[in-house]
Amino acid sequence: MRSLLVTAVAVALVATAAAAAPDFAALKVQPYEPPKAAPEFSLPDLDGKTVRLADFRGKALLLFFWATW
Amino acid sequence: MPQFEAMGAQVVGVSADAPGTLGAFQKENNISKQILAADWPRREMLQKYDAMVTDEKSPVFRYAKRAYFILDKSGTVKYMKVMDNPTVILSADEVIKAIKDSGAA
Repeated sequence: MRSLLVTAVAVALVATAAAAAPDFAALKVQPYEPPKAAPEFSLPDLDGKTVRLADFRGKALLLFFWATW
Repeated sequence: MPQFEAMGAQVVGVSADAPGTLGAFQKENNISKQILAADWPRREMLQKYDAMVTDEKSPVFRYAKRAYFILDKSGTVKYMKVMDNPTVILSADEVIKAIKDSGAA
């Protein structure tokens, strides 16, 4: 009985994990694997102030690259 | 942008253009997000992120590719999307979904 319960819990956990797994297929967004520390950078903003990657620690960050193609 | 802030995420734009060009672009388009100029030195930052066009035959050689990098609170890259075709763009809703689903925010 006990092992049945453990199995049921394990199955439920796996099911939950599967349900929570991000579905990026439609967006074609790829997991970055293995996740690694983003390369440091130090760049000027438009006021000439130097901005470093470290300045953004503590919050999620979307780095969006583009150009005037 | 308010949707991003509401989930505790910041948005930073990075471009290979010069600060003056970007300033005009920001003003014209009334953009509130922070913009960084990656044209100097030698567009090294774009290369570090593998987000620079390196095909010499491309008309946009050495410009930034359209790319999205989602970093979590510790500065770890969790998800990325680098476009081969810069005219393809994710909608704000799609990007918000990606940030939420990635667990970064």
